[in-house]
Amino acid sequence: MTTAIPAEGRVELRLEWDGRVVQRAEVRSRRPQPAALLTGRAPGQARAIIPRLYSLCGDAQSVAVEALEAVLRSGAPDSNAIADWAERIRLENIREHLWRLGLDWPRVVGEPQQPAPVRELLGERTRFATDREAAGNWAGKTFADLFGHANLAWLENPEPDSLAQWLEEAPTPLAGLLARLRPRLTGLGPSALPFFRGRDLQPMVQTALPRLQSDPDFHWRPDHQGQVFEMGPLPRQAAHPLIAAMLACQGVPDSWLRVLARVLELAGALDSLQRGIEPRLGIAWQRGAHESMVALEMVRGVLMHWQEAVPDGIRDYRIVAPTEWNFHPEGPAREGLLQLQAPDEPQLREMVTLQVMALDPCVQYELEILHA
Amino acid sequence: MCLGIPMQVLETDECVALCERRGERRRLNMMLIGPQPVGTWVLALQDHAREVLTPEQARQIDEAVLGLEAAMRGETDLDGFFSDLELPSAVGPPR
Repeated sequence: MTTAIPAEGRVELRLEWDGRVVQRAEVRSRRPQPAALLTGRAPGQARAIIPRLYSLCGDAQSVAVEALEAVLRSGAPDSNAIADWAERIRLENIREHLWRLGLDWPRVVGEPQQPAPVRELLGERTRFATDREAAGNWAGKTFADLFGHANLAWLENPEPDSLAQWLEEAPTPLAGLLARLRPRLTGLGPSALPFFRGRDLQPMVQTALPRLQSDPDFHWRPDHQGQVFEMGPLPRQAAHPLIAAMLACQGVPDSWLRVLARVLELAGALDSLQRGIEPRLGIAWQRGAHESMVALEMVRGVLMHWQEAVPDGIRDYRIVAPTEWNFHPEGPAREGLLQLQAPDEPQLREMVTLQVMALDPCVQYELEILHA
Repeated sequence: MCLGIPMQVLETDECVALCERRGERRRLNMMLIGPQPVGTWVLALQDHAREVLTPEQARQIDEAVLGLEAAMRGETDLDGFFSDLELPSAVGPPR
């Protein structure tokens, strides 16, 4: 695993498999950093350059750059800016969940794809960011299309029976999709690593600020107080009554819980948008002598932007993406891969696909299987 | 940190379009944005066209990706990849 890093970045997975069980797993995430493009430039130019590169989680990346600029300028972003960012991130999160649940997962299990909701959102996102009534109407219609009206107690309460009944009756294409996914994802990709919690965001920024200055490899293999965390929708939904009940029952999370957490997060975001509830953005920042840093919760987990600037311009700029946590060499992806059992290589490859998609559907990976 | 790549539609049908960027061709799923006429610029992620771009947006993203690739090869004169931006007035020493 020593080839050059492609501009698009890559996750590399290498498994040693004895024909039945995986005996060894290596995970490496490699992405080019933007520092070389920004060195010597005025800090404000990062705002123009970074969104051009990382345009696919473009709102989250843009918000991180804008927030970092605000921290550099005045020490802290103002509340109006944070409210605007929170709405952009909420809409981006909805868009990403609709994309994965409407297009990617149906393709994997051979169900018809459902592009209409995400296509509508992509077409209207500029208007929805300011026209709350239009966004709310769209969210209400989309919620009904995705979830229907019956047996929805599981969306707010710890009621696995209600969920099972909804899946069994399959009143919507989403329910039918999830009913087919559940047996394939249950028990797949277990990880006992701790969840990253929102309350850890500010402490993590405080410790990561000097670490990024002193450790040139921190962005490849981050940790907080020596610990690697799982990031993303499941940790964010861990306190949801249904997720909490299922976690208490099964002990460790699996791929089914990760997908279910995305569904619950999507339902909650659509519901809050429909009801006109202001979104909350998990964001933290810190300014040092020459370095500044922002971390925010986006759809895939915590996104960190760190910058070192001197009067002549930017000296260094690094981004720590959620992928670097979930696909950390000692992270939850590796934990799950080490538990894989498959009778043949095609089934092993399919299990890897399902596990990676459940942990982070955005990740492109290369898989190498060595026969032990 | 997924990079989007701008690609131009060469051939199209209802769901899939053959697209090209700098000689590289890919068949992109068009379900997210609907069928687009030949010549349209789109932003590609994996095998999906994610959004329609103006020619100016496509040029800016294309040059930024080229700039990143040049930086990865060790090139240091990268201002040409951001021709629409004001050049840095001073360049600090690289670390």
